[in-house]
Amino acid sequence: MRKYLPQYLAISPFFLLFGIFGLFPMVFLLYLAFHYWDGVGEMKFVGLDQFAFLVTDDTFWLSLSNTLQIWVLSTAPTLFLGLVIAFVLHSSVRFTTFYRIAYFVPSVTSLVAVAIVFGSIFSSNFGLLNAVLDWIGAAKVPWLTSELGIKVSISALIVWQWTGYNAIIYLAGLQAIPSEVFDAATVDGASRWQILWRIVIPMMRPVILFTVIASTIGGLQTFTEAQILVGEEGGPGQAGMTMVLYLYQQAFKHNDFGYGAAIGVGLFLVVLLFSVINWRLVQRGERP
Amino acid sequence: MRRHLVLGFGVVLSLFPFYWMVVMATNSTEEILKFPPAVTPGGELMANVSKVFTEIDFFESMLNTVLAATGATVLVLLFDSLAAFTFAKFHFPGRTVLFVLLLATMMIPPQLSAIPQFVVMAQFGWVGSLKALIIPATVNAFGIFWMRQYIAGAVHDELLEAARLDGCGFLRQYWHVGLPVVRPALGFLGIYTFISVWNDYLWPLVVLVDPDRLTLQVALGQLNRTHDTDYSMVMAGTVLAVIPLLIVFLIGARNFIADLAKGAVRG
Amino acid sequence: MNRRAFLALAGLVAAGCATEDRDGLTLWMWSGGLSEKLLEEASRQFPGLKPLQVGAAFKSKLMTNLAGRSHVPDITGLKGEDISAFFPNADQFVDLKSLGAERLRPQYLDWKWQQGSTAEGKMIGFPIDTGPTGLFYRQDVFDTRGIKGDSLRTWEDYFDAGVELKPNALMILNLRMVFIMAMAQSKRQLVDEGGRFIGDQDHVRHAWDLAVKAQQLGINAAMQDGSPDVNAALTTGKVPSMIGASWAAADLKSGAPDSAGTWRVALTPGGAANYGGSFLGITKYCREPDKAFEVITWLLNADRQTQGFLDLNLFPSTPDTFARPELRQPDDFFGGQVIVDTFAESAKQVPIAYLSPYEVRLSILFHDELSSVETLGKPPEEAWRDAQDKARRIADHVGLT
Repeated sequence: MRKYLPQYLAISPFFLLFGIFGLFPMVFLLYLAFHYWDGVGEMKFVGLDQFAFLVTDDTFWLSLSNTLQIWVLSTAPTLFLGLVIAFVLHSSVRFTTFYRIAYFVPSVTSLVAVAIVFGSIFSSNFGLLNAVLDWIGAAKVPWLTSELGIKVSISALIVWQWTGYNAIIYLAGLQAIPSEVFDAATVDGASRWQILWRIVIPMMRPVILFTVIASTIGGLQTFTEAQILVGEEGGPGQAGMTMVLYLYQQAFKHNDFGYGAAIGVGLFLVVLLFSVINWRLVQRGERP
Repeated sequence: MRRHLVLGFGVVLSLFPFYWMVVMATNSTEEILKFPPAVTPGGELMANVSKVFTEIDFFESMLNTVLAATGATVLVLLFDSLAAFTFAKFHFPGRTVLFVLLLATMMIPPQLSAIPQFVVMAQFGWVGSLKALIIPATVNAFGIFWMRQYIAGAVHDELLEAARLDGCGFLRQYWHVGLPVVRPALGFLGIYTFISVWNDYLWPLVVLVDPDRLTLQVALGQLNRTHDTDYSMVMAGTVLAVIPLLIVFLIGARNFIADLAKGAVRG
Repeated sequence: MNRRAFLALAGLVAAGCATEDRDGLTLWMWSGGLSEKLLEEASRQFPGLKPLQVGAAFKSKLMTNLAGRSHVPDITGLKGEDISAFFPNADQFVDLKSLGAERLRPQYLDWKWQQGSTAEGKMIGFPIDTGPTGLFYRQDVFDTRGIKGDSLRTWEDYFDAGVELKPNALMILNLRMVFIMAMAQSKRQLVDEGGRFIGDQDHVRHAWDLAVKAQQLGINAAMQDGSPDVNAALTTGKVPSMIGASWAAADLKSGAPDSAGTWRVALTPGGAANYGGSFLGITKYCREPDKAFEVITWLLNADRQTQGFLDLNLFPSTPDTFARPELRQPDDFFGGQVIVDTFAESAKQVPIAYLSPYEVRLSILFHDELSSVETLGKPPEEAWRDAQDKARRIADHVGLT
């Protein structure tokens, strides 16, 4: 054991701090889920009541469905467009630094700010987008006042913010592929699409997996986007009610910390499921 | 040429919301909300900015944000590169289990633990202090995960083996072999950490209570009034809060992206 | 096992009690809850008083800090709709009666005074302003059809006028507003004093039906509160009226400044109601409750309440001030109307309703369903059933009968 001491010491700061600021709060959360607690008064032990309420709660299942729908609606275009941009950028010679910076900038901008801006773009009656649609003679779209519109608007925000970020990561992955591979393929007469699908994507598998994992984590935690665009109630039909938003609403708005914690445990199980799937994908990818 | 058309169109989409932010910040709220709305920058910027300055202590907030973001970044770079190097290049009992545990921690939405974390902070007496922002921010599993992926490819086992044969201990291998190679990744992680602490909203909102110790995002949140919303002012504040960060990013961006690419090619 | 013991077990009490810099008195308020001029004056009057503007999610923030037992303000604002949610935790506040509040009671509106006290008679909130409602309307738009704003006495009158004006102008901002105001006109809310859920009874159904009727008449603009749409619609006259409390006048002035001079205020169709209006309380962590009480009574005496109305249209809870000349100034935004007179009349007729700690949580379910009706076209009967099911479930969950 002694011989591994430096290694354990090297990883200890993370696990020590995680124990205090990550694990303990989680254990406390689990403990809370067995109680009724308004945040201030005495906790009342209620056994599995909160969980019984959870599994029969339509809003909880709706929030799960919303979260997954938004995740799919946002992740698929983000990763696809990111790959396309990276590919085009990779074969471009001029202004690449400018392009990279321009594409990366959205991901460093405060989400609060971005959500406020998007709110004014998507606003149903006086939003910029509908003003443009109106001007070109098209029908206005109820972006923030219809079930699909809300999900599309939230997803659009996520796509806007993260496409460039993923493109930059893909670009780094592309540049790691020796240029001879491209040259050989071009000589063999492969089209750009063939190069992309047959050569680039298989070789970039680890990088793509990384972005899928990162998007899953981000997607399951969608909160601020929804809260600012459609408010704490999730908008009409609660179409923008994500799991974290529901948790936040129950715990912080209605002071039902016990139930909020139960939602948290439910969320954790969903996250766990996805982590296992992701982990298996990663492991399969690492096998030689 | 077609390539540049595609890329150029993407750039327009990417930058348009910033333009729109500026349009809103430089017009009055009425001009934005009338139909059709103002679509070009106006002359109300200074009026909006001065409203921001009377509403919030902007520079004090900015100083606090810089302090918190810098403190967290330095600690994250140290802890994460060390841990990532260890996970990537050394075998020790429990490595897989610990790494899976680490990955699992990434999955915990931070909003989940706001209340229990606040209780912990209260017990430590850290509520309202910048420590409450900096120390939990150092628990950055994403950083370790990212660095591990990078180091696994970029640091060659032969190099480490050679260093070991030369009698280098763990720390010297980290310092002399690992760190120089991962510098581009450090740049990325550093900027990433700085930005995420800078932009964090919910946690500082919960844990900071002293008016002299707010971060920029929380101060901006205060601009979002309960009843009347002055969009132009909020946007002027947003522009003010976004610009310093963009400047930091733009100064670092060239090197950062070049280093990232260079490092990736080398790996 | 309580939370403290659990923490001790977790070995996290090593750092001991938080030591805080606690000299002086901190006062938490949200923006627009008290006149800033007044707070500045109070800080000069009472050295050591530190007013602090706490942003959005005020109640959450107060709750969180009470839960963390750290940095709890000495004096805090409590919103009218939130105060009952604090009643189960009344022990976190100083009973203002123990500081001699009773002797000031005659100066304040009786129903407002009662709202600040728990069923057991513990007083945790001292009256700031009240929220007597009125009908805000655009004179210029009403004139196009010869409608007289102050002749709209019932909901039916109001809706009929809406039918006159459609489709150029849509009378109703959204169904939530109709439901909230109709409920505010009722003496009974969603839970009674005995902890019984009464959200399935006729008075609620009546408010619901009114909202649905507005939808069916096609006079509803279906706009989300707080969205830019609202301010734009109020500015252009697309939505030419709004039922709101007197403090909404300040929102109107800042949200639709270009429409200054075109607005008027009349009595609320369907009867007087109160919406919002807030309180100041002293937390149990306050070390100088007597001094804090002195600050509160200074801030909220009749003179200062007058100032609050002039600065922010906060309607006084001190009836003696209603007739003061300073208050009865013509307001240019309202075409020179003396709006205080309308609200004063409304304030005298406000029905006294019992508010349970769960009122906000339950009523949101009805609001959500109404929003589905107006924006998604959900059939009203189905929406009513869903609201009932959800409300019943929550009622059981929180232990109501």
